[in-house]
Amino acid sequence: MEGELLEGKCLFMCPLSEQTRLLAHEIKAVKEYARPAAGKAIDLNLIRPIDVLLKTIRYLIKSVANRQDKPWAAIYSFVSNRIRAIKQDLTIQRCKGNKAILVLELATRFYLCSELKMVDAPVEEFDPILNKEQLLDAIYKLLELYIDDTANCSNQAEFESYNMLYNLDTEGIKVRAMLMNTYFRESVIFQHALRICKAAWQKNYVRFFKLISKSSYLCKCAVLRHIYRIRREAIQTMNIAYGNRASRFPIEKLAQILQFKECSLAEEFSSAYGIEVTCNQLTFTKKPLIAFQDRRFNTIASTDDDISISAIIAPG
Amino acid sequence: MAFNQSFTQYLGSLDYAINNKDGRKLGQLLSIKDSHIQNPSLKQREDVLQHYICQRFAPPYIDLIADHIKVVAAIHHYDPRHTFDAQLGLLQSFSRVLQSHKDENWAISTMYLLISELTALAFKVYHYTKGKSTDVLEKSAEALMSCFRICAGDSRSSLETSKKWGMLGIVNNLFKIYFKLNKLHLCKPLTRAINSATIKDEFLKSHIVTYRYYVGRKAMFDSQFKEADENLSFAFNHCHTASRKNKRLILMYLLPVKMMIGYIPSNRLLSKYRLTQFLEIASAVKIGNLLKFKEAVEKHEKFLIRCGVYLMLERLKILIYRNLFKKVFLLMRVHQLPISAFVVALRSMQEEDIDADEVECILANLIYTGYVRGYISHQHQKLVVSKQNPFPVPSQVSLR
Repeated sequence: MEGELLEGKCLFMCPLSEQTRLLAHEIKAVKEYARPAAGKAIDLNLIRPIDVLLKTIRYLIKSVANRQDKPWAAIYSFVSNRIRAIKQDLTIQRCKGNKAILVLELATRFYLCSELKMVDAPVEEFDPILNKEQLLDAIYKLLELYIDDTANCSNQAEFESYNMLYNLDTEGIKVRAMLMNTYFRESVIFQHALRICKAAWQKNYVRFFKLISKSSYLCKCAVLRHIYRIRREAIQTMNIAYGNRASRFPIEKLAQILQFKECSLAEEFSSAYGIEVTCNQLTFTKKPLIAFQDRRFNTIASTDDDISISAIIAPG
Repeated sequence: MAFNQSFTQYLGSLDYAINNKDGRKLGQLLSIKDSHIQNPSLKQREDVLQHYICQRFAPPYIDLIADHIKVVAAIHHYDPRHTFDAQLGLLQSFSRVLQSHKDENWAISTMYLLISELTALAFKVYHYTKGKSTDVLEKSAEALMSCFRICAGDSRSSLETSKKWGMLGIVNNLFKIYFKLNKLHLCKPLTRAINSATIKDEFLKSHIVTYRYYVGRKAMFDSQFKEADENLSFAFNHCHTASRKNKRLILMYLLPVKMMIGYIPSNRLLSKYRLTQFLEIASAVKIGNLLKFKEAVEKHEKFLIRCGVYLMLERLKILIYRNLFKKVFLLMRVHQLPISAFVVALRSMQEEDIDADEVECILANLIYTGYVRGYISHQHQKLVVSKQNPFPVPSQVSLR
């Protein structure tokens, strides 16, 4: 099968056979994701060519993702499923080139936004493992496409930044970061993302959160999943470093340096770890801390909830 | 083999080497660096040469020699990719030869040559395509692994005839590939296999030195500095004094590790091995001068990135902070040091946007890691250091 390039024949966002089955409206229907059946031959009538895929994802982002009349959980469920189907068609046809790049860029930005928007959603509405899987799949495919000499790499710095931030704690990312640094020395977004990563690698939690507060919405989305761990490490460090019976640390200061959305969250966070909080002051005692995980503590301050999602995902 | 010998004479040499179980000679006759490659009699049509080979040899040697002829043909077409593919085929035929040898291990010297040439070709293609074809590296690794399995699985033979002796040579080549691919986690099962081998201390010295070099480098990546020091020091000390180049290579990684533990290299050592780039870095670390450190690293950035030490040096920053802050302590001669004093010290190093919060964070990390003994009082904005040994010697601090 090597070298065989397939091109889809379905020119609608949703194949006709599926439309009939779902009794869906021709113009607005979008093909659903379905697990590929092993051994089944590919029916090109069900596969959409790259132009249609690009049109479809743009429709999803501009017209569906922006809807105010439905809760984001419902929108996410619909859009992420349809994007998964788009990626599937993309993979089957082994699409390359600038249109494929555009599709994957939009998909990646969507998944990133979802990480932030659904940060405290229950697992029935948002499966973080599935989102991560889909996000990494999109971003790795995208980074591969940039390697081609004829590719439009005007956004490569942006997506290398997201890759670096998202994979902050993985082995091998530092090496890649240094390599990318040689290409993107002049890129503001990349250098900023690199500074965030360096702060994290050096355990400089103050600088880490300070830089995040000045980051773009999507950068915040990319780094979100590390927030919890870095806060935990910070409080473990502080527990030892400030550990003294007479020592008092104001809760507002903690909330500020660790960028908690509200002081009350900082307080709850500290108490949950077994740190005494009295009159808005923390007392660190070097006592070993209790370990736990709670998704509420993944939120960060300075994220506007009212921004237009489609403007973030598909600017201009 | 001489340039003007006939093909029959070439086959004769091969036959002789195989019958005398001369692994090294066989390797030479299958090497792409040997002069026989240029012999015009090897440029005849493949089917003609195949005829001669089949007349003289039995399987599995027929494929071995035929595959080598394919490699020679590819070389003459100046196609690195095809040469690699052909060499890969050769190694696969060789595996079958190796497997057919019961209770004998003379072919492992041939194996070393074939795998080293395969790896070199893979690297050549990889660099030629500017890092795009990772598949050549992956395929090489696969081929090497199958040789490894043949060697490691040779448990029935006696020690003299066991193929197990070949394990370390293969592992070293695999390390080389995994480091290039940036897939260091693949090294772990190999180190486990070697460490559990009963003959682990009796392998060839040169193989052991190379092995420890890679193990040391991996430990460096994993921030296991003590382990890195042990292995890289061993490699450095046991590396043949004549291999200046290799000694220098080992030293390149040993130096930052030693600095991390708190040892500063002597100027004499650095000059001897032409590693004076580290002079400025080492002296900056010693006196706790963050500005000089940053300037030195920037100045030699290309060199440091190329040898993969750049990232390691970032970790030295904590030592620089420790040395700088110790100076502040010695200057002020009190045990309750104002945070503002440290802010001033850092601002003098052109860290203009640093504030008290960040300084507290740096101090907190120093206390947490054990470089400073004491505690921070936020409300009094002071660092209170222990009256006894507030700045322990870095080599005594157990690194987390």
